[in-house]
Amino acid sequence: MNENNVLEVRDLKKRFKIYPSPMGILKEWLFLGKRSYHRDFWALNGISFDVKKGEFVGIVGPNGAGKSTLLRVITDVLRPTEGSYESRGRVLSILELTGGTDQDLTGRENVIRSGQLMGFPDGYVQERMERIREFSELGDFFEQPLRTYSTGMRTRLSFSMFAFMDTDILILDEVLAVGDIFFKVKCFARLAELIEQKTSILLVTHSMAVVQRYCNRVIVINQGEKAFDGDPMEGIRLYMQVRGEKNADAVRRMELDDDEAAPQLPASLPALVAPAEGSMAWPRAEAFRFTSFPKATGKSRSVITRMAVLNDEGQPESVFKQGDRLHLYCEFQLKEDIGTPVVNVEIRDPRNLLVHGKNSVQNRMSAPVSVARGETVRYQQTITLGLAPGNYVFNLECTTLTGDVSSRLEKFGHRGEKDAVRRIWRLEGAFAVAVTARHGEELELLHSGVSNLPGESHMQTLRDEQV
Amino acid sequence: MLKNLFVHRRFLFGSFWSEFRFRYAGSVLGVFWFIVNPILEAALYSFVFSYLIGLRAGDGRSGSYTIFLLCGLFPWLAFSSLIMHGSNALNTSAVYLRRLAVSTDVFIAKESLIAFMTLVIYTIILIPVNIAFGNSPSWSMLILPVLAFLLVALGFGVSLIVAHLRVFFPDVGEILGVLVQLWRWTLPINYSLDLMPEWARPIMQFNPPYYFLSSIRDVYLNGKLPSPEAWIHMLAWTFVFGLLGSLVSKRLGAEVKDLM
Repeated sequence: MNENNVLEVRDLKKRFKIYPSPMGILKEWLFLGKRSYHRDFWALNGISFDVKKGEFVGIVGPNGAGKSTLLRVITDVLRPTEGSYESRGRVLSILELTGGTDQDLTGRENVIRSGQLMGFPDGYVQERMERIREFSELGDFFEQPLRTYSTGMRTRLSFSMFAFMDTDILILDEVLAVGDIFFKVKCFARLAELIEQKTSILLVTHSMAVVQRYCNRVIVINQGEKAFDGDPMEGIRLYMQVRGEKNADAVRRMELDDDEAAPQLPASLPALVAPAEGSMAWPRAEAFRFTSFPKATGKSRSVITRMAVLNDEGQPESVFKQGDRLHLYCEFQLKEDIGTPVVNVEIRDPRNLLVHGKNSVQNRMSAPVSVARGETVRYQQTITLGLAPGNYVFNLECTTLTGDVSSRLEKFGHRGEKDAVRRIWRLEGAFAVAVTARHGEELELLHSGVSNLPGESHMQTLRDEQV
Repeated sequence: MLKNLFVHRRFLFGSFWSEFRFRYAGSVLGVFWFIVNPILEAALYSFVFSYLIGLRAGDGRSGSYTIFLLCGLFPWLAFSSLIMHGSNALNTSAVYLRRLAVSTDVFIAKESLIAFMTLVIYTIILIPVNIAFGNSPSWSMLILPVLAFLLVALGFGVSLIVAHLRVFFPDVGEILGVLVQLWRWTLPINYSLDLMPEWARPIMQFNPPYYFLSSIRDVYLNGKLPSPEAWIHMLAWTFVFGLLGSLVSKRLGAEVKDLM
């Protein structure tokens, strides 16, 4: 084992046998394993990496990629099918801490029990008890049974426990996904202290903002294989790309069909806004990363041909810093005559909260009165991402206005009245981006909450005589 | 396997103690529930067998059936509940197995510790009851902890086998419930060995718990130490099931964890 390494993983493979029913196992045993009644599932398919002393490694990947299996293997919970791993010193995993807790014991008793579980000598935990209690901010709940705790309180207890236990490798699995912002900031401050003390940390997370802010290395795992190992920003880009491809597949399945019977289009609509003079700026062909879209079927009213997400430099991008501008380009060809196209962009956070939604009308954009069959529409929208660090999903939708809408257009919102709006296409989860914190500033402290609303503030001190 | 148990001894004793405490001390009446069940069962059986049917223990004294029954019933109840709880130990500990680097045998060892504590409590009850029924205490009672340990070791071996199988085949639990009931009546617990047909008596040596239960009963009622023959049988059965159990847990332990 290399001098500087605390963990060496070599060609690790883990196979799970999937039996359709218990009968399969019985038959296999009866035939002494000469016949197979199971399907092999390789959760890990040859993963190798080293972790150095004092490294903060982020492990990211889509659900089911094998991240948890990897952690369970290197913490000795599961036995690898092939390959080897070797660690130097004590390995402490949050899995163990939450796994060893007992619902009927109080917070304090659970801390003692976890200490026993980790094999710390008697009195070791008692020495640290006060600091653990204080760090957890649980107050009186510390002496209450664990079943009275909320999820956030449990996390506090678990994190506080291992924050004060000496270890060489610390393994965290999505622990910091819950809990309030102040506690999170405190946790990361403590992790930074641990890193300084040369503790190595392995963090499995879905939060790209955390990876970008804290990790000095990222390992991307996809389908049981290591897809990337190195610089966090590069890794995040790759991860977002992997997710983007998955979304394109999802879009294919979500092919739009006639949801409502198409109302008759009026012969013509009065000009809403004057069409733009000349043609708009359009990116080079290689900027378009998203080109796999559903092929037109008889039912489709249009084909989406190209889509691009660019940064200010005109480069395709999926990772943006807070306050950066995102430029969206989208092109689609119509299969039938429609009225004024209205493109709507929705931004949703991982909890599916609609963070922001704005359509082309609300952007006061000039639009053609009608588009004929076979014509291609190009759409561009710029959005300033004044958002909290995190991952965001974009939904795109194109509708057309029917009926006498000219008089009501000013009031027309992105969720307008149904009789006036007809859907042309919709891309659910068209793409996702990660918004990360700006360097040199405290995490999420540009503002709190999901969005950064424009505004200003003033303050003045008045002396008595001025009043 | 023993090395394994030693490595995880803190976890083993910690979880044993909290579970033992919770299972019985968590309720208002505490240890009372611990003994009320076997006492009720004993009272019922002595009413039916002694009063209604008129069954007498060997020496024919009235009331002696009750103490005869208690000395056989209590150890059996501890043993059978070890097998039932032990066989389910891996399923109920799924949370731990999924997350901890602890091998499967630790959870069955925990159940065995609980069973041993149960036997200790039963012994503490049985000794004065025995004296109250007119049997004089004897020095041979000092051997009781050893017999209790061997009986629990046998149960540990059996539980190891069935617990692993039960994870793969949930039916094992149901089958076991029926089987343990039947098993109980094949053993001379409610009746004495002389009531068995002549031809059936020699077969008893192939019924693993037989020598354990009869030795314990002999110590209580007659102050008699187990015969060399009984010792050989007890040690042999313990060894056989201990070996089989550790083979099963070595072979299937990792697969059980994969399945969780």
